[in-house]
Amino acid sequence: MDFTFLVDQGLGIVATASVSALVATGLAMSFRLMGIINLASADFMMVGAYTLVTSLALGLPFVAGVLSACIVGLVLGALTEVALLRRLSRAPELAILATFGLGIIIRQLVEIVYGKTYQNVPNPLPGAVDIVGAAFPIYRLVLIAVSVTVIGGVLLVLTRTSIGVKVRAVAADSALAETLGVRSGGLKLMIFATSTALACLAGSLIAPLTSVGPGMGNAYLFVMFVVVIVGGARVGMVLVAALATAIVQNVVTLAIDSLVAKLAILTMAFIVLATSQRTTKGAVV
Amino acid sequence: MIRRLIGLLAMAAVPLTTLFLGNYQGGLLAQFALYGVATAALALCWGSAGILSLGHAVSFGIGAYVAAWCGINIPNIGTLLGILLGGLVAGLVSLLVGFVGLRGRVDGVTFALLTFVLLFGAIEVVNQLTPITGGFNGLAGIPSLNLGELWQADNTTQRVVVTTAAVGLLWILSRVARSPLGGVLVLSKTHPIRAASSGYNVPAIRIGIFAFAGVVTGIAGALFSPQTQFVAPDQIGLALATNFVIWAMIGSRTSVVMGFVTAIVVSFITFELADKLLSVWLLVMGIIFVATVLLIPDGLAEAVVKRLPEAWRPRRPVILTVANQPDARPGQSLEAKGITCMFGSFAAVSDVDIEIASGGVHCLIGPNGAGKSTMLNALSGTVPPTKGSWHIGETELTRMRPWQIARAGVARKFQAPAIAPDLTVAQNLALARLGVTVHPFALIFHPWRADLSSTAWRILEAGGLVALVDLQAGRLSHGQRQVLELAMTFASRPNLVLLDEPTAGMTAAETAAIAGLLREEAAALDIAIVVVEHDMALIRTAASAVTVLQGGRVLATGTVQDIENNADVTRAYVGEQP
Repeated sequence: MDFTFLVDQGLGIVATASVSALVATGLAMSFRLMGIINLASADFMMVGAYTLVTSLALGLPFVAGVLSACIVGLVLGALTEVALLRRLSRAPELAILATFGLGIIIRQLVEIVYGKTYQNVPNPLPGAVDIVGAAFPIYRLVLIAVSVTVIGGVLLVLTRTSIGVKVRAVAADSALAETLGVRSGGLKLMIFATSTALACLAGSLIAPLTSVGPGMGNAYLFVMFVVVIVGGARVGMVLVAALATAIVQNVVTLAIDSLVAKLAILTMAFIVLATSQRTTKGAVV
Repeated sequence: MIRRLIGLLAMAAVPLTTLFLGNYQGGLLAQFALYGVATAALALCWGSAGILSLGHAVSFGIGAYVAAWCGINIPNIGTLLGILLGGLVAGLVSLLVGFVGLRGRVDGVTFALLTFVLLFGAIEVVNQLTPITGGFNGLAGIPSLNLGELWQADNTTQRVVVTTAAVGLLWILSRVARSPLGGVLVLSKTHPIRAASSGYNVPAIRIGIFAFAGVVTGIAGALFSPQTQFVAPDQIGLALATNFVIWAMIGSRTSVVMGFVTAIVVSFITFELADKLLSVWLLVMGIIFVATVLLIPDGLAEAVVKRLPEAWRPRRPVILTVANQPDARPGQSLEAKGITCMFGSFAAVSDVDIEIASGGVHCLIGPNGAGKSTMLNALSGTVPPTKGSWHIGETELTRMRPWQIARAGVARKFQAPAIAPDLTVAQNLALARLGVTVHPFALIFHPWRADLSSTAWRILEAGGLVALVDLQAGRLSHGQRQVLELAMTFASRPNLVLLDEPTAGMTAAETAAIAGLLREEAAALDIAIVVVEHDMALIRTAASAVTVLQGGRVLATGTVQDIENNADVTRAYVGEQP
């Protein structure tokens, strides 16, 4: 196996991991803080892609389209938090079902407005660069760079500012944190809006690499959710899980085929859950 | 009697309707009735046991594909074999998923996610394993119900058989939901630790009910194949999984019958609109679903039942009698050696030896953080100790799970009253009684009937609960809940009783009554009672022995008088005296 091949595959793995890590980081943040998983993540990705499509159609440059996808994500996430999740904060199971239903609503609205036909977004940076002999598409490199920067930024905010401490306090005991002066409502709003913005960003970034349609996010849903199952509610663990999942997926796809690869990461999720001791209370039944 | 007759007629109505509807509409009804069964199975898991599966269509799909493949490829017995195998394989897959996710280590949201991910994996398998599943095109030309050359069902017979089977499966599901096992599921949803301390192996029961729902759903899916004679991923995948959740949610998670009805009604509407307004209709369904989650999270059936006059509501009478045969083997004392409980590097209890003699009340006292509750958690197995061994009489309890300890005759009352608020007082009592003697899966066939010990009846009388047995336990006051859980602890006449602040929240008079009662019962039945208490009045009335814990160690043991005169104890409570 030569070096060029390894570099090529390695970058491929990182590119795969960076997209799922982008969305999974958002999922893990809201999972940690609110105990819920946004089941409409795939649909938020799709909204991001359609925002880009619409922006391009309006003549805006690509970067402006990506930025407007983030803004749409922030606004939709904030609306979801205020209109749905806030009212269901005592019942995480109902809250995830609300996002499940929201996903259906978003999907159908997009289908009614834009139709079922797939749309294509032209690649803004066609061509490839030579990395130690491997020709790697420029756009994918940019994709990796943007994802790493954004995730790094989120991690910095969570670890280096008081927001991280507040998140931990509210996650541990929301009411107690309130009495200590933490506005848990505002924090939840901010974190959830950020998580949906990350999903929209990811959706807009992958738009040039795929066909944009109402069900486009479903292809990514599987990997994203496996990543969250494996990584749990910790952003750091989720990043490790995203990388591990991408390695397993790419290597097995290359060695055998994509079906076995999917089954392999599914098996990984099962094994992680079967062997983990996630109950923190320590009580057995 | 009348209720039963109405139920029977309603059940017979579904297969009869297929006769009048003609081939096309009747066939649809049969197909939708199978969706209904799957929805009802989901409602049983979700409403009763609180297990939400977003990939419920996996079981249905497994059944459908297994039956389709057998029907096409195996002559003569293929169709029949397919139905049996479909249920079996779906059950085995559910068993595996349950084993991974329902042993109390994985939270409900992650479990829902796991089932969702499994669904995507299953869709992928079906799409790509073309030689067996037909890939995107699916499998066509599935024979209708037949026994080879012996018998081949025509359209009418087929749909009558299928709907009758569907109604039969629904009856089984509803029977399980109403049985005491259904009550155990509700208890294990709200208070898994209480259920375990009442003698129920909660993980096994939850995995079991999930697998059972898988079998029923698999059989429904297996009947779907000969009924529609065609299976494809589009029919069964994500759309159906989504629909099962929507139907169960809108109908009512707590009512399997309502899930069945909702599935059929909504399916018909969807079918009628399929060509014209499907996108709009799906949007409307999404909005209705979210509105249900927000406004009537218990679903339509529950919302309607709540508004019915009291007399019209479905009643579940429980027959409670007085036990004439005591279960307890009296005169057994508890002996614990070297009990140590570490939480990380912190020793909440370290190296405690304690002997609890039968026939009296042994009080465990000490300042906050002394390790009293931890000690009870250790002895009842709820939080297993890091080190140490303990046994009652000849029975070794070390390393037993909480439900095994409960079945060995050790009953436990928690500090915050642990009861199932959704069940009636009588149901709570019956479940506490049945847990230690009846096998959980025998509870499906067990009537709602239990013989409570005379001690439990005395406690209920002292707390004024005898007249309230048919009330929902969630409507009791805090003090009444305390009384109820205390009575539950004694429901089966245990050998050893562990009580954590049993009278907190009771009035002084009630406390005195309970204290006297505990002392008398311990002596009369010759059983051991351990009470963690702060209330000196109760200790003076009830205690035959007192052990003082401080910083996780035994400070002193003796009679009440010994302890009250012990200078170390005084120092521990009020500090150094001048």
